[in-house]
Amino acid sequence: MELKSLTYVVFALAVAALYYGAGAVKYGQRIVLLAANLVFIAATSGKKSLAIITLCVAISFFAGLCIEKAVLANQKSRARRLFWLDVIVSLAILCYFKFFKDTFVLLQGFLAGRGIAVSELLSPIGLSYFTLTMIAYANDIYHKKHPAEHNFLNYFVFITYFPSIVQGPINLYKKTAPQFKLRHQPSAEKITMGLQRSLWGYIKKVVIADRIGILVMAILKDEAAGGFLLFWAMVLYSFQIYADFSGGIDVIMGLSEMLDISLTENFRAPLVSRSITEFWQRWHMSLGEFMEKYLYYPIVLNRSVMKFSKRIHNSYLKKVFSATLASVVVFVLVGIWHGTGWNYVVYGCYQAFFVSTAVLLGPWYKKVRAGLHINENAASWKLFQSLRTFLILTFGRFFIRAKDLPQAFSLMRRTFRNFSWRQIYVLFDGTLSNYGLDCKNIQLMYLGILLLIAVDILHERKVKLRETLCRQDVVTRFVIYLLAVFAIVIFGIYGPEFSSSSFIYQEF
Amino acid sequence: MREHILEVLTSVRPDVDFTRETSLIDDNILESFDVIQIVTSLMDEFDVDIDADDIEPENLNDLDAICALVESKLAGR
Repeated sequence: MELKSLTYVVFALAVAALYYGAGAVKYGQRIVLLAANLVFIAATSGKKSLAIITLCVAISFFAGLCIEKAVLANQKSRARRLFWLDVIVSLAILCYFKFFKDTFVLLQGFLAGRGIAVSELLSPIGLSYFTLTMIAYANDIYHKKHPAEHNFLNYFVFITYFPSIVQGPINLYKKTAPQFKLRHQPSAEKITMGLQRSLWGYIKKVVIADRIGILVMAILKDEAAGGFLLFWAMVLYSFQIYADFSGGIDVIMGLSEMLDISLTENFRAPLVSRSITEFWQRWHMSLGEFMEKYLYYPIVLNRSVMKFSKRIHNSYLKKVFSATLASVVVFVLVGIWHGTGWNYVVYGCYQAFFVSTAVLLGPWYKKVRAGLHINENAASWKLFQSLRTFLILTFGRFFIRAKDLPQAFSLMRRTFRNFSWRQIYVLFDGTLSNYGLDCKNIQLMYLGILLLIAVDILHERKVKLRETLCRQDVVTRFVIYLLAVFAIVIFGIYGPEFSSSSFIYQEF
Repeated sequence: MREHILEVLTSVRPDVDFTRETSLIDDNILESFDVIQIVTSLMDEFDVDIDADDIEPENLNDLDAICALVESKLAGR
């Protein structure tokens, strides 16, 4: 069941109706969500995946109870052992499906060749996301941040919550789980706001991202494409991945808003980021929060790391050593979290390089800026920084757009060997319309990109677009929503070739 | 002690008015690198141990919360 399919829309609306209908019955809403989660997982990734997910949730649930028991009994070393055992088991399951599944497929072929039938094992949906949620849950019980959940069904509903299991955000138990225990009353405001956000999400996905996707795919496939054209395809890909991922998150957040469940925001106008460090504070924020809380700070404040850094003679290096080390570890792991190939490891190292050098060379950069008399508050300087950040990120995306590292390097070679700014004319002479989109569709695509940028700038300037829209009279609102629905139906990319295009971050 | 803590905070981020701000973490006024600088400086200045799980918005959002964190660490030493 694809997030962008009509089946999903009907399913989500039916669940919302049943959810509020069951509000009068004790536990009614949780039962509706439980049933919806089960149906969604089974329909999306199969009954076997459902069994694996149930097993993962059960392990995490019982581990939580055992850790809590040891903590309350003041058995610190037992609690620590149980916590690490739970982390290792959770990561082992994740690594099996992310790293070793290909090996399993080979084994399957080998056994099939000898007449031994082994049924296909599908990767459970959302495993990369809920594994992190479960690790955070165990960690927080171990550190007495909250008690363990004692009702398996409550925990199951929280972990498998169907809107966010697909592509996040990564929910933390303390923030999200208590909401499932409340009885939620329907309200016109929440439902309208939720629908409004979901509509914007669908526009981003089916009108903008999928339209860009056609062009990007066709250009990258064309062996004869010139350097500038390939570079432009990567620029467009940066917008595609943003519209795709944030569009999916808007659909999820919108549906959750309709159900009166508040999730962690995942984006804060990333297009206006002025540095790579800032970008990661605005992009996939729930992953960033997880990494910062459960990896970055523990590494920096680790006694051995601190002891080592105190031995460094240079006072500045002493100050930044642990933070730099932690940044490198975090970003390499962020890369690996995205995918299994070496290209993802290189992608992580690439991000780590910019984040860690920003810390290491920070004072030097400051001196250079002062020496050049740069006014750091000037709009032109801010614009330059945002464009520079965007280009660095675009270059990094060669690694995640390609299937593997050799393909990434080959794409880079093709791009930069024949690159010339003089080839910019390809954007205006109709060349682009040879790549799957006609002239009007290309104009619509650029309009969509401008809309994305404008919305990010307005959000950055604290303009509350959604609230402003809600303050309009009923006729204006109705016309705007109707136009949005028409835009999705008329301008959305559908059809046999693209009906199967899933959200990019769903694949992670 | 409050003045001493304020001195430490201001040495890390001279551009922030720590006596006025009430959402240092929630409003992203302090970045993770600032947080680390503040925490390690407080550890050195007051000879206390601050763990990673102490780094929560409720412990670092304003000057009062930071003072309370240091006091609790001094009391538990």
